[in-house]
Amino acid sequence: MRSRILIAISSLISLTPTLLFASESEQKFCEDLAARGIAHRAALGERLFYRNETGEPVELARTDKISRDVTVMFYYVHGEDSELGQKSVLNFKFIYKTSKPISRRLEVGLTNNQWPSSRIARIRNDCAGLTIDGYERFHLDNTRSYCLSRHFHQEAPFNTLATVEQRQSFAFQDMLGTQSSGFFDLISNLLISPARAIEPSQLSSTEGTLARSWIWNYEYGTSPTGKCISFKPDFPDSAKSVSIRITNHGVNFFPHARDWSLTFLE
Amino acid sequence: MAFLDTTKDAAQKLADNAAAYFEVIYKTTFSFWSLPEIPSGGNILTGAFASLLLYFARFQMSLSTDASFVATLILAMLLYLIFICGILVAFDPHVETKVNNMRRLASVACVGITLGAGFIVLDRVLPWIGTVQRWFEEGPKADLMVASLAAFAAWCVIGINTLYLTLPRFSAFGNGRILVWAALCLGIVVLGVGLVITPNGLFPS
Repeated sequence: MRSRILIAISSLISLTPTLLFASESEQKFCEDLAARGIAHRAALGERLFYRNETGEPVELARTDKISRDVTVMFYYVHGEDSELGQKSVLNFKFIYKTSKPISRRLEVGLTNNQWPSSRIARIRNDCAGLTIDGYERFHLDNTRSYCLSRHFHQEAPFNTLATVEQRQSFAFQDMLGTQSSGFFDLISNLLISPARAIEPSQLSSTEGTLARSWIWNYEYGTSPTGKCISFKPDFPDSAKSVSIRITNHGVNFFPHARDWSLTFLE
Repeated sequence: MAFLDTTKDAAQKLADNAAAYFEVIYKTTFSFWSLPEIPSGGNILTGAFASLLLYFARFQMSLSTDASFVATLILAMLLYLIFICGILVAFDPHVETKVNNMRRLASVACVGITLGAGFIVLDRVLPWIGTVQRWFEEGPKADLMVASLAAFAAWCVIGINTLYLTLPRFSAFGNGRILVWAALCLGIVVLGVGLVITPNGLFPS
């Protein structure tokens, strides 16, 4: 019985990247955008869409409201002619905000769509316990992390740690809106309140889902109407709003980011 | 005038404790029973320096340095040292004053863990962890190998000090008791450094 449960769990875990990104045909969605005149040759840029209850594509403004029921979103990318057919990388970052401030002890949910299903369990094990604090430090302070350097980041077809700018572009930075607890806090905790060192409220079981960073390898495609990349945001129930930052590394390996700040409809 | 005297006394006390601390560091050997008596102030400084390096080792390994968590980890490390050293010392029939020698052994282990953490921090200027992580990529736990190697390096430093301080009197390799305690110290330090740089320390997910 126990082994069956373990097999079921491991099967579920191994399907995670597929579940996160497989959905309605990306091509079909792009064709729909083209048919409605939203995506066309002159529509350069990157935009975020979802389908509303009636099935119509809706573009999200930088600050917008969204239903928690939205299960699939589409990131529309339209590169220059010179970029067509070339490989690149997107980095999706999500910070879900609850009524409490974001704690740096939150674990970061990582995904890379290149992960082979046979290694998912091992990767999840190696990456367990990676906090926002550690994630930020790795990308901004050049510290070590086996999970991030050997699993999350990649060398081919696109080295995501090739330059300092690329490395830093993966950090959440201002999305967090809180400051790191520093060494002086540590001293004061040791001297003043060691007995209250752990606050149970900071260790809720939902913490692991509130900060996410995904690497998505894609090709610009050959269609002149652009490329639609689908993903499943899987909004957590406890979240009140979400900050989304999507960084496109382009074909020139120069990352540029776009932000959305979405509030969930009650 | 009274304020000046108080300040002078405090400064003198700090200097005495610092001297005791450095005496402990210089005389740290696996034959802990021959270490001088360690004053409480010296122990506090040893613990404070260990905490500092533990913090920076976790920083270097991209682990959480959240103040409340690190404070808990340091307290847990202290308990670990007291219990493991207390238990081990109890099994040595040659140790007479158990509590005093437990404190001495804990001090040696603390210096070992501090040095181990120091080797991890050293990666900042002399990168070695990336290479180890690549070597042991398919191993059971790359970070555990990093901890083991850092602890082993620290153990070697204490071993060299042991040889340096004991060779004039007798051969360390000819003394079985020192060898047994050296092996036990390696275990304590490996576990200690492992706890410092395990992602969640004593609280695995």
